[in-house]
This record gives sequence, C-alpha cells and structure tokens, in this order.
Amino acid sequence: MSRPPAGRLVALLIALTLAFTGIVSRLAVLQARDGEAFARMGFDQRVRTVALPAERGQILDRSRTPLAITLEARDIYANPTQVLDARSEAERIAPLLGMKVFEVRRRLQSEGTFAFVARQVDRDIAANVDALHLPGIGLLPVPKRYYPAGNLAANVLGFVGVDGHGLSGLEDQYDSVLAGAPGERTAEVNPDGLPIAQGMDVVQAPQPGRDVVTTIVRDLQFYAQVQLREAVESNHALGGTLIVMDPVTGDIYAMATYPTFDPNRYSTYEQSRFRNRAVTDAFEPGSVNKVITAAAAVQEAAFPLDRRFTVPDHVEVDDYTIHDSHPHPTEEMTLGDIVAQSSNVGAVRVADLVGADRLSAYLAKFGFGEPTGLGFPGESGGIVPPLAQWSDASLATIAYGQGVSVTPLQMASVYATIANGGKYVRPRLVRGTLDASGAFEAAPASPTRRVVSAGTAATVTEMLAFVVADGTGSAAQIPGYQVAGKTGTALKPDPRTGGYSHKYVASFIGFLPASQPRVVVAAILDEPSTIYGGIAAAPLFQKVARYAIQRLGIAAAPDVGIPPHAMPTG
Amino acid sequence: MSVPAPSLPLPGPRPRRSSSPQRGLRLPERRSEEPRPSRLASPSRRAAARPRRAGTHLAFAGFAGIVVAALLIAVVSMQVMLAQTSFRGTELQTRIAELSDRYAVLAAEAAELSAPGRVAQWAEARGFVQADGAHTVILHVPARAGDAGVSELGRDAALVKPIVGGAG
Repeated sequence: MSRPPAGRLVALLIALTLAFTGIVSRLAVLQARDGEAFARMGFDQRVRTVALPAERGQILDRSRTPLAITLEARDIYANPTQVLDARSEAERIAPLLGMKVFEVRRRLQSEGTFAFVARQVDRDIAANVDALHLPGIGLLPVPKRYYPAGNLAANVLGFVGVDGHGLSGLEDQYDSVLAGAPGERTAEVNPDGLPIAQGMDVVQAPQPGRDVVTTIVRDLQFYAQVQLREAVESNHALGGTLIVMDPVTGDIYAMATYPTFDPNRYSTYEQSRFRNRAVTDAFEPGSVNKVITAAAAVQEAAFPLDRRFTVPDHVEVDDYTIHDSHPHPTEEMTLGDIVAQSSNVGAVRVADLVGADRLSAYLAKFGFGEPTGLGFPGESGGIVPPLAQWSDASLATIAYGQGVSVTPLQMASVYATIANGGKYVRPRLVRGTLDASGAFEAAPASPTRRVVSAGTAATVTEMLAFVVADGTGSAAQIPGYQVAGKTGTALKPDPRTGGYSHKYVASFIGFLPASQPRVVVAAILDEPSTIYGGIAAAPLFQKVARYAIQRLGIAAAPDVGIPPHAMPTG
Repeated sequence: MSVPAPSLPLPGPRPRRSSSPQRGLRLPERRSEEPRPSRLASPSRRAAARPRRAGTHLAFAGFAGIVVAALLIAVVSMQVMLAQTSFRGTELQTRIAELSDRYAVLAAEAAELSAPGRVAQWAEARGFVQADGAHTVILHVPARAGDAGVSELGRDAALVKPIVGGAG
C-alpha cells in the first residue's frame, strides 16, 4: 500500500485546523460574547410567569355574616379577526347576556384582535355562551364582588370596580387590607404552553386579603333601612338618614341612607345614590343643636338652673327677627323649659349669657368643624364660621342650630357624648380584621376625650328626658323605657339666594334608657311634608329604638329626675 | 563422615513486611514452572483462541445491553412517575381551586338566603306580619314585712325585664 503524498496530508491538516479554528471561534462568540443573551432568550421562550391574583377579603357584619364576598366569574371576549359571522354570533350571544344584538355585534366587529363582549358574567351564563362553541369567542376567569344581601348597608360598604379595587365606602377605605398581595407562578412550559414535568416551577403564593369585621348588626341595619324608607315615603320627603350607635364604645350598629342602591348593579344607578349621607352631607341641625347651648350653659354655670327667662315668641337681633316655631304669649321659662319646648327665643337668651367665645369653644369640643375621625371616604367636617366672623345674629342663630352645618354622624356623636357621661368617643364602623386562618385582630379602641363633666351630662340628660316626657318629643316615648332626646326642625339654606329657603330638615336624636344609655338613634328626614321633627322624625326614632331594645336586649333602667321648670307639666 | 552444610536461602526478592505472618512467609511463585507461551504460536493454537474471545465479547455485549436496557427502563419509569406526580399535583391544585370556589359560592348562597330582606319578603308573601316591639311590664309588688328596700319593684331596674315579642 502506497503512502499518500505529503502535500495532501498537509492540505488536509490545514483544512481541519481552519475548520476547527472556525468552530472554536464561533463557539467563543456564542458562549462568551452572546452566551448570556441566548441563555436569556431561551429562558424567555420556555419560562412563563403568570400573576396569581390575591383573593379579596370579605366584609362581615358584627356576627361575621358576609356582607360582601368575592366569587369567580368570567369575562367574555372576542377575537374579531376569527369571528366568521358577527351578525349570527351576536344574535346567539346577546339573549344569553341580556344585551342588545347590535351592541354585541359592534363589539364583535371592533378593530384589533381583542375586545370584551361582557365582563364579570356569572359562570352559569358564561358556560352557556361557551357551549355554543362560536369561533373567536373566549372566556377569561375573573373575580367578581358580590353583595348577598343586596342593598343592605350599601352606602356603608360601597362597591368594587371591574379592576377589583374599591371605589367607595369601606371597600375603598379598607382597600389595602381587603386586597392582599398578588403572587406569581414562574414555570417552564413546552411550545404548547403546557408545563414541563420536571422543569422549573416556582410559585410565590399570593397573600389573601384580610376580612373586615364591621360593627354593623345586620338585622338592625335592615330594619332601620325599611323604616327609613317607609318614613321617607309616608312623609313625601326627598330622603333621609338614620344612625344607631353605642354611646360607650362608639360602635355604629346601623347607618342607613335613603335613597340607596344595589351595589351588585351599581352602574345602573345615579352617582348621587352612592353617597353615605350620614358622613358626607352636612346639614344645618336646627333645634337638636340646643343640647350644646344647654350643655355650655350648665358646664359654665352661666346662671342657676331654676332661673326663669322671660320668653316672647319672637325677638329682634340685629336686623333679623327670630321666631319660635309656634306663636305663644310671653312666658316664663327655665333652661329645662326652653329645651323641652324648643324655644328659639329662649335659646337666644341663654346664648347671650353663655357668650360667643364659650359657645364657639363648646362647638369645637363637641367635634363640630372637623371630621369625626371615622376615616370614611368623603367624610365632611361640617362648616362652623370662625369666631372672628360671628355677629350678634350668628350667636343667636347658632344657639338654636342655624348658621352652622354638621353631618348626621357629628350630631349623633354629640348626643352619644351626653349619653356617655360627657366623654366623647370617636365613632367607628370596623371592629377588627380576620386573617386567612380566622385569627381576629381587634381594631384599637376608639379614642375618647372629656367634653363636659359627668354632672353636666346628667343634668342635660334630665332636660332631654323632659323633652320626651313633656315637650316636643312625646312621639318618641317608648312604654317602660325613659327616652332622652331632642327634636329638630331646621330651615335649609338656599344656595341661589344665599338666604334660607322654605324647605326643612326634620330630625330627632336621642338615647335610651336615659339613666343608663345603651343606644343612640338619630333620625333625619330631608324636606318632609310634615316639617316638624317631633311629628315626622320622632316616630321613626321610636320604631327603630324599640327594635333595638328587642334586638340588642336592652333592659329598662330607673328614670332620671325632672329638671327645674316653670311651665306646667303633663 | 561429612556434616551436611546448612542450607542457605536462595537469592530472590525480599519479602515485604506485613502484619500477616503468612504473607510475609509466602515465597514468590516461580513463573518458570509454567511453560511460557511462545510468541510465535502455531496457527492452529491461534484459531483455537478466537472462538473463546468472541464468546466473551458476546457475553459482555449481552450483559451491557441488559444493564443499559435496565437503566433506560428505570429512567423512563422515573420520568413517568415524576410526570404522573406532577399531573396529580396539578389535578389536586385544580380540585382545591374548585372546592374553594364552591365554598365561596355556597357561603354567598347561605348569606343570600339568610339575608333579612329575603326572609322578610318570604314571610310577607306567606302572610306573616312583623311583631310589635318590646313591651315592658312594670311590676308593683308590695314590700314584704321586714324588707327595708323599695316597696315597688317597678323602680328597681334589676327586676324589670323586657318581654320581647308581640303582645297584641
């Protein structure tokens, strides 16, 4: 066998060397220079990261019954490029979704490759749509907020938008607590999108939101809403507000607004119905504010309680004439009589002795002019004119509750302060939160502050009990229980003229039992046909208070005494 | 008469030190005792060795094949087991999600069915009416002889209890 020529061997060696050098060079380029980029590209091709949404916490009532819960629903979408016959498909889908055919058709014919046909559709309905197997129609699983009791406490709870975030009420206020933290799953998948059995699969579990336990008593809330609606309708009022709260803890048992809405279908209502008027809307309180004038007078010992004032039915202050609600001859009245008969002229006399400085200070002490601290979205602090802007007329009108504006909750808190022995307790709507394991974390106790002495509170309570026993609030009486409260009939300001309109807000705010108060009820009606608080609002108070006695198991207590009075009783 | 001379050890490799006395005493084997195969073996002897080597190779190949096959089966089985476990895990996760979802639906249904509005509507449809509020009866009981306390229990809150429900 002859050996190959040396030239060929050399040529082959050179060729192999060059090829090897080329391969090594390319390898170096791929590994050293572009290696990281290719590794990233490969990783991106086979690794998918999917966001895992956190389950939104529930909102529960006082006994932990769900008021708001999250369910799984479906978004129905279309890929318009794959829809073969938009008209035919729209005609089949629309009846299932309760939509108009042209609306569905418009969405099926929209530009691009993705369009929502309907969002947060119930799963049963979505399954019916899916069963049609229409080309270009798909489903996406999405969470949906559901309010099982419909409009129960709707203005307190608020609602959640399609993106899962609270838009009003407690849903908005406690959004960060309820929402939790989303997680993510990073997994290697094959070209079909299926997970590779032994591939990477890292799950960062989502942190579910905490459940919020409210102070609301579901039955009482329902009863309050029903009675409020009936009172508004029977009095032909524009609307109304009702609050039931515990004067000792500040817990709000019920907070009703009428008209209201169903948060399951919030988009079908006017926005004005979403407001929780008990905390967002300020009104001029009228005679219910006389409790502050009386408390200031008693606390400051401005005059003896048996002092008799000469009270005509009208008085001139600056250029204004202030009237009592009814014409009457000039009478002798004590402070107790002035409160019981709700005399505006008498209140002006008392305010003169208290003085603007002190009355202004007590308005602030009772919490006027600033939000209660409830933290509710859109809470108003009311309007109290600065002392420097007060005229003689201001002092006179503020004494009987005109010229200042407050929220119903602020006014209820004033009565809760008197009921609680002169100590203000910040109202609250949330008792605490529950984590996923059911562990309860109580909310901190509401802060308190001393506003008037216990003795002053007891004296004012006697006056308020006298209002119900022998004054304008007799319609609030409950057999077997002594009720302390005050009527209010306030003129509404007219924003067009800058003066007052001939429209009224009627109110009754009180508590029971007078000597050992367990519950405060504030009933307020906007523009009732019967303008007087003692006629329009006191019966509403009475009905709800009676139910509260039954529902909360409130026992009767000894009666408080009668304050010094000059007018005949009975 | 001659005295036999003592026998001297034969020259050879020095035995290694060992803890085992037997090893130390063992003498190196004499290779020379076995006939060395001749480098130039005859063709007839070479032909006789070939089938023996081929048989060995065949056995080795068979053994290797069995080992490789066993390994392959083991790897594939393990792969299948892992895949099954993975699928089972996915299945269980799906089941958990379904059950959680079902629980939420049932909780919502329970809350919906027990909602006061629905209960009231149901009751109203069947002719039920709302009971009156609480009625309180004040008891006026004469004081017993020797009692220094109140003579009318109606003023004693502790002994007055609300009677809940309708009383006409």
